[in-house]
Amino acid sequence: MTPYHLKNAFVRLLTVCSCVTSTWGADQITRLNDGATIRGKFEIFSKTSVVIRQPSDETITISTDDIMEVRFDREPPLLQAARSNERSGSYTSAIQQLQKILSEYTGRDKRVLTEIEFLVARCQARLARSNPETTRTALATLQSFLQQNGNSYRTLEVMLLQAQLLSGTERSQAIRLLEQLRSSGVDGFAMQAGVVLGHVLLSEARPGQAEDVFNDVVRKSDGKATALKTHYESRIGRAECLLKQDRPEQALKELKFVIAEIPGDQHTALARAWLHTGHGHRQSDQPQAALLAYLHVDILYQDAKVEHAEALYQLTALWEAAGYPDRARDSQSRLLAQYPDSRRAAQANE
Amino acid sequence: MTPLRLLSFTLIVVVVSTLTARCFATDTHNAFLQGLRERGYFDIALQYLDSLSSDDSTPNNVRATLGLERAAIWMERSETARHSDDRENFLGQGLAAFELFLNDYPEHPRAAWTHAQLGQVLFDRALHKLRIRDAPANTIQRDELTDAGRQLLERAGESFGRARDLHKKQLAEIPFVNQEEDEQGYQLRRRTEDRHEQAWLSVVKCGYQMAMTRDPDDGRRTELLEQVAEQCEVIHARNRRGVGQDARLMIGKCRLALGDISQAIGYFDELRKQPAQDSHTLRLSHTAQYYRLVCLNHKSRQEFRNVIAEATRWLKQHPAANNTTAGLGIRHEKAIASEALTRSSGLTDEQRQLRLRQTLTDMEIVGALSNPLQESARFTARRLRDELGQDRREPKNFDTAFDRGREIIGRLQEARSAVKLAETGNRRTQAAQELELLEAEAGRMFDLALKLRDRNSDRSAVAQARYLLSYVLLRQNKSYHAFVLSRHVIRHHSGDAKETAANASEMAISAARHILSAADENDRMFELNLVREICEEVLQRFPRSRHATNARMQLGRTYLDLDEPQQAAEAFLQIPQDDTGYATARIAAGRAWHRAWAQASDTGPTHSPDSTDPTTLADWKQRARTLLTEGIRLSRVAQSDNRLTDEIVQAEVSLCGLMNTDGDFAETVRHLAHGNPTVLGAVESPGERPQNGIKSTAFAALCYRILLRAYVGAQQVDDALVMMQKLQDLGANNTTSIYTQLGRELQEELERLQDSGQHNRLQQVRMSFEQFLEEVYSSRDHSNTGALLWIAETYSDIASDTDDPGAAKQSFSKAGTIYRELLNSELDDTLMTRIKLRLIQIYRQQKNFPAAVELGTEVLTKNPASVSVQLEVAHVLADWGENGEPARLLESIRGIPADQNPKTIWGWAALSRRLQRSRRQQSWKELKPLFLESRFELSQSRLRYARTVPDKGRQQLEAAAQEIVSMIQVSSDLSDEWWSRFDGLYQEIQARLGQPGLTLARPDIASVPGLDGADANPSATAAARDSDNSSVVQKGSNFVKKSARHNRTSDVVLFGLGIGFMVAVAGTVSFVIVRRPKKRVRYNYDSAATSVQFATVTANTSSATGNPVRAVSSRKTKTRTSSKSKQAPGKPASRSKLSETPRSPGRRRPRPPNEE
Repeated sequence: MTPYHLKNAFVRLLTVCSCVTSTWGADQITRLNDGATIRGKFEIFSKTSVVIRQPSDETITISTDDIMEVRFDREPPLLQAARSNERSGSYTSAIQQLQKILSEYTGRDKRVLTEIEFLVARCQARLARSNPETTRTALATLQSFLQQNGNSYRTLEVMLLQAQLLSGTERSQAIRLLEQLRSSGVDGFAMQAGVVLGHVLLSEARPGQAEDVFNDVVRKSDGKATALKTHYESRIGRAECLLKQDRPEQALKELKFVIAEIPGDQHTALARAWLHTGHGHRQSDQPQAALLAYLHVDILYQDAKVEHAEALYQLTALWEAAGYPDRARDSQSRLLAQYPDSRRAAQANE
Repeated sequence: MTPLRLLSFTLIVVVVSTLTARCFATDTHNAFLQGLRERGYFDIALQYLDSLSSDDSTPNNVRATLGLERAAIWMERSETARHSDDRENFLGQGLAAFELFLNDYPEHPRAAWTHAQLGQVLFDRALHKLRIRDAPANTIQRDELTDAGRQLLERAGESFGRARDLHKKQLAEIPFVNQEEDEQGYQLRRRTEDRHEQAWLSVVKCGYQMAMTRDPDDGRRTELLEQVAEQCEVIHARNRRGVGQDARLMIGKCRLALGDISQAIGYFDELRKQPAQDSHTLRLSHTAQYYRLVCLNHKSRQEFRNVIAEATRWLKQHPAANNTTAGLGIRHEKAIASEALTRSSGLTDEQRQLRLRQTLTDMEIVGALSNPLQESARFTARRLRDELGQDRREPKNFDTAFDRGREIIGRLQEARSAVKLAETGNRRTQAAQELELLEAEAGRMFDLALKLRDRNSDRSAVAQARYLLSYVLLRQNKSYHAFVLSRHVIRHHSGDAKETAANASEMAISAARHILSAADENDRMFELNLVREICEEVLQRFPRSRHATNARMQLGRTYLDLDEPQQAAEAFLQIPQDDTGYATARIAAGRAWHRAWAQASDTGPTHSPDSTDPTTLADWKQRARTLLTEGIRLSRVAQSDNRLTDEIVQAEVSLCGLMNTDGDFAETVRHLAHGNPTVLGAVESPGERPQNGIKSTAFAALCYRILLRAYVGAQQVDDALVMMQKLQDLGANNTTSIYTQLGRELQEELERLQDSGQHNRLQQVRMSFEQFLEEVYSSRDHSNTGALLWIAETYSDIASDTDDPGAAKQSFSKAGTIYRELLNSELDDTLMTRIKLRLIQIYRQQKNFPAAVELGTEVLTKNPASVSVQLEVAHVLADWGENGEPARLLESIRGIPADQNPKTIWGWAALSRRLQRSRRQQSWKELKPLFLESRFELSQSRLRYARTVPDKGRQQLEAAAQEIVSMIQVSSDLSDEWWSRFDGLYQEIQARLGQPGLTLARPDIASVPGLDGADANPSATAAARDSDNSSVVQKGSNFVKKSARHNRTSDVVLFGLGIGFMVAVAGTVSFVIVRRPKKRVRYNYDSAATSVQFATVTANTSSATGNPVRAVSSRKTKTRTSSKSKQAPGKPASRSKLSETPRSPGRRRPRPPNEE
């Protein structure tokens, strides 16, 4: 038996197992803080929590900010593939798959339909981050979801995504949404909203206020396993505030600590941290150090697309200035080839 | 297995497994570095490593391997570099990084591996150097490349040796295990054994290559090759597999190199015929085949046909291996054999051409691919093309012209050898002409190449063309052209052809030195600065290269030429410790500091005063001593045969000179006269002495003098006498100057000791010196007048310097005895006159005035124009007059007739008059002080007479006052010192005349001619002339202010007011003058006075006639100034005060005790 045959057999076995599980009629939810998957039957959905009854008749309440993934009994098998595409950043493929599922879905489980709509909105929102041209569509989808599912367990997350997208264009609206989230009583979303709010304030050139917001998030998220990502983001945000306040040394110090603490698999956070490290060094007139920082993003964290595009853009200028036109050309061509729709690509074309 | 052994074993397992592990434990660092390297961002990778290195938060395990990572990056970078210069540069950086890692982490688990890697890189570099050394185009740098190759081989051998030691250590920790029981342990031990033996064989290979750098007829080469073969046998005995077989091949190569061709073939055949089990044995078999063909081509075999047949067969049978190193080697041997056959008889022209073409084809194939024989094959191919007439046309592109030029450069060495070996003059001329033609052709080719270059021309080749052209230009004595061109290469090719640029730096320095050597000795500041600037530029551009050493040495020498010894020392000291020229540099630096110290300490009259403080001076001397000592030690260590090089001898002598000044006489004796061989022996020369070098007369004399001084200081009188004899044997002229120098040193030492208050030591030195003099005197050779004169002068010096009147009297007496003895010798008139002058001075000192006058009369009767003697006799008469016979004072003024001559002894009046007549002559500058002295003494003698005979003195006083006024009237250019003296004398005279407070006023410079200008006031001169008998005083002179009492005219009031005003002005001026600090006069009296003959007015300097004491006295002028005022009453005047020469106006005349 060749390895190929073995692999096929293993895939088949998994499929069979999956079908068997499905026939047991179990919903399942995966928690964010410990990665545990709980099977049973969803009983209550609210904006703030989900209650699931396990086969042992025990109920477990899970806060909506602790949800990593939700699966429903008898959901379309292709849905999992779409989720997988989303996880890997193939948002366009995911959206296509989700729309196909939606159009082909014949079941009557409204929960599944809601989840599919949510996933479509989320993918569009994430896609819009790297491709601003899709922002309008994404916002419309998000708004539509909120209008139809005002009390869904996904509502707060959608609000957050909406606020994130609006933060680039409609800041006042974004701030209003974010303030709602901060007072939602769900810590995870409140903290994440804080992070987004901090960035909005930064983009409004209010670094002092932004720093206060980030500091608040840092304090609240400190030591919380469920808010680890938010914690790092808020610290990176705080470093950004320091940079905006022309305190690059402090910012670089903060970023150095953050980079040392962020787990290696959190590529986006690491990419952002390195990116801001690069900005800090540039601000401190240390182009060589900045080059090294941006190269970290270019070499190690290419999957953080927004940050990678930014890094390539910065590298193009730095290589040129350092007397390496060939390397500068290489960076620019990769920026244009890999992120043709990004803001930085447009700038590079100019 | 004990726990300890178990632990060790575990450790070894960890160590070995780590060897294959990644350098970083941290994935992120590793991944990032890997990414950078994959993209070819080596520079950034190195920066990243630097940033990690300087970051405190970098984990220790990461930090430990940063160096190794760095080395790996440099190596990788080297492999991908396009230009050979870059490759070399990066390789060098890699080596440095390896070494740094090993230095920082000698116990790191990867240390053994790193040592082996380092050794291999060094070995490869050495082979590269030695290979390009053999290329004909590199004949210029052959020696340099050989040295570089040897150094690299030495370092490679050391690295392999360390790798071997570490592997051996590992082996000791790995237990023997049965393969069936523990396969892993068994394999581990075998791997470690292999590595150990591989490292061992590598050490041996270094030895082989080292031997091959020597000439075939060098005995050391044979010895080294035998050792290599022996060690290879041991390795083969231990391991008959892979490494052992390599060792077997090495034995064959040794036998080949030793000329044991049959044996060598035996070894190669054994390897050649073994079944090819793996790629290693296959490769070994091919290599053995190649060496077999080398053997068959050997001059002792010359089996050319067999070589061609075997090679052709092999190349057909192994097409895949044709382009391997062995395959190309086999083709090369085939081509050699083929060409050799064309030289044999029996071939038609056509056959010969055919065979040559085939040879050319083979050589071109070998020359086209990178392999050890590439350069050689290219050269042969060019030669064959030339022979076949394929290269006759004028080159049309850069490459062809450049290649042609290089080929000619390769032939230059041969042409030069032909010049050297030419037995007859005609042949030498012919060979020299051929050499010149070749050089010209080479220059033309490079020039053409540079004209033909275009954008696509290899920048590195262009740089080399320029460099080689500059070489040719230098050979053609076009130094400026060569300089400009080579400097251009330095400045414009440092980036793309670094090594060529570095080589050009040496060319530029050579050219600059050439320009300097051709410059006018008296006008070469521009050229010196040229050398200095190019050296500094080279240092700036190639600070860590071997060329920097040369630049530093040249820079140091240039600074010495520029008379900047401190800068020179600094330049020498920049040479790093690991440089082969380190010892030389230390010596050079020591000698430079020695020179700086000597210059700053020099108190001679021709030397300007130096403000260097004593602490700094002492520091410089100490540095000189330390550096010389260190340099000598290192140089001696480097001399395996215990031979004393010129450099060591010179340094020893220099060091001993310094030690003498510190009183370390025993050390000096030990350094120069002890040991085997001795420095003293090294300067001996059985035959005629050369002009320069350590066997030259000058150097030998210096060495003997230093040793003589040390013997005197160490009170080894017998040895000192022997040394004196050696000095005598060197030649009379030298001896005298050497004695002068010795006398100077002793004098300086005595003065130094006196100044520093080391009275005990002073007594000791003086005693030892006197003892020596006694010995010298008692064993004197009467015919050796130079030595006798020296003894006499030295006694005289001692007498002058001692504070003990009794001792002084005794020394003067001894000096007088010797001088009298010398009067009986057969000497030339000049010397005899001088000796008599000395004797007169001594008589005067001893107050034996009749004898002094008698001797003076004798001299002056024969030669009345001897100013020195006239002056001295006038002094004698004046002193005599003051010591009981006042009439002698008048004689000192008027002179004494003798021998029917109205005035044999002129006296002050006539002397000053005659001297004044010389004022328009060229020698006036030297005579002027004598004139002033005689004028001063003229008036002073009158004053002394008035003091001695007060009742008859008034007339003399009035005459003296008038003489001074007259003198001042015509002297607008009197120095402050002279003015002060005359004024002081005038005031004293006026005081005795009852007119205290009357002073002199300086004349109006605009209206009064100076002594150097128009004639002096004739009336005043006339008055002075007549003053012998009269007291004509020019009253109403406007130079005398206190005139109211003498004025008998009716306009007393008006005149009084005018005079009053002038007095006020003159008083102020006088006050300023008197208050002004006295300047030291550095006039060298000896030069003017000693030998001045009035008729010819020639100034014979003492140094020119070799008078040692004159030099001593002149040097004492400065240093003794301070001690003059401290001279005790009754102390005999120093020799310089004996009026053999006029006194300095700044000094007071020594007065006899009774006058005080």
